[in-house]
Amino acid sequence: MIYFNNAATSFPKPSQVLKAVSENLESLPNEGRGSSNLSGDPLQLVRNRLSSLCNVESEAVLICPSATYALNFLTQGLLSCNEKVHCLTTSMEHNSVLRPLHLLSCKNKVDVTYFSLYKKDGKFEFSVEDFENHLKPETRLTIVSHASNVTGLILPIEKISEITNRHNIPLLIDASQSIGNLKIDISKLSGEIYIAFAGHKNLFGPTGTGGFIIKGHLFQPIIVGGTGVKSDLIEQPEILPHYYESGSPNLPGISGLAAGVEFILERGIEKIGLHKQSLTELFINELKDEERIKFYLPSNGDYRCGVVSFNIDGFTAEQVGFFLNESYEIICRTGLHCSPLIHKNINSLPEGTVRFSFSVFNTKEDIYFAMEAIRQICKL
Amino acid sequence: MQIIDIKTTKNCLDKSAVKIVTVNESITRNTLKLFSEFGDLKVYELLNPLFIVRNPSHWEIKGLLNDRKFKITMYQDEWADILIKFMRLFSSAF
Repeated sequence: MIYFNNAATSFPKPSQVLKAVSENLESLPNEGRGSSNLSGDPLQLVRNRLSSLCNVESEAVLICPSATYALNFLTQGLLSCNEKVHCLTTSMEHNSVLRPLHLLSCKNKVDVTYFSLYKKDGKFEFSVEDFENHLKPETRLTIVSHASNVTGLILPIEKISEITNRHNIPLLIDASQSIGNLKIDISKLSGEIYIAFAGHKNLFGPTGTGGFIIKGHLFQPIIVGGTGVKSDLIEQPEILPHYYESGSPNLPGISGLAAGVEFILERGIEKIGLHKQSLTELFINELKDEERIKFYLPSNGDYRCGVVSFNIDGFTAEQVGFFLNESYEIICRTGLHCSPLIHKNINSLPEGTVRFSFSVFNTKEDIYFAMEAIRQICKL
Repeated sequence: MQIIDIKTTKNCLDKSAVKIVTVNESITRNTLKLFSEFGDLKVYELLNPLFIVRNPSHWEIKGLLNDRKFKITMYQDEWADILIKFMRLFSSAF
């Protein structure tokens, strides 16, 4: 079996992740609040490691169950206003951005602009200058994916942050596909920045882990409850991380996430990105002349997130996925990948695309095997 | 050939249902011919050859040659009736 669905969730996990989850489950419960603090605090451990990975203070790292949770939390928190406001986002976004915005839009609280990608020589790119032209005086928030989960296009978040900072607008970045693949240096991002991330993708944590990073003003939390500190107060204590981390945390998952981040720090993020770049380049370069294959690629050739979408003329994406899965035991994802708007943008509706997403554990041999499979499908 | 097990894998939002059917012997090229009674049969000659049988008003059957399992998707919300129809047709064909 070859697993090319790492943009959905990574597999396999490094052995140290399995060990950390198991050790946590076997240890005396320690939710970081009681007196049984014998085996360290997984929450603090993961905060420290993510702080090293993203060059940010550990207090700014908040842990929650998923990127979807983080994006809902941040979107609804940051757009909580009395008057109707404007939000600028992109056609690349996942439903975990689109649906919270739609919900707010239905309540007449937000007006949303979806900024599209440009097509240049059959490939796709993002114009920072034109993005700026879509900002309005009433824009209260901008939301961008750092990397597309469909095309793999990586957005220049440092440049985007310079623009949003110049207009004094917070920037929310969905780093679900980029964290663990690309160096995210928070200190190089200008202005108010909020970053949401998934734990179970390129950070190698178990599902049920994610989080967000705050470099900006605090907003009212949408979930409140037990924090283990200042329990005498009826109000949620305005102290990070407690302000945004109510309820019993998923400590086995968080222990695994901490081990996953440690794996990345040990391996080196540049090395991981280069590995994915080389696998993706190999795959694209070997198949680009196949007449029946259509790729949906970023124009700049930056494939460090290891995501590549394609279709084979004469077959639906679902059919190709079925052939690959059943006949070759290649696991990939087909369809819209929960990002419906970009498919209108890249003209892949209604079926969507076949998506391969590579891992640091994939090899060139995996790529050669998949290329041969696709060539055989093209001959049908 | 006899059906020895039918497992539900999912009931979809569009009210179709997906079942995994296990039979008591592997599906060969000879037995596969009989599947043409169930609809439009196509065989795809890949590393492990695949077959798909489509009957647009009832079902889609997908499987691998030399395997004892295949997947059947029943399109309509009366899929229980369709399943009985499929099982009757299967008994008479095989």
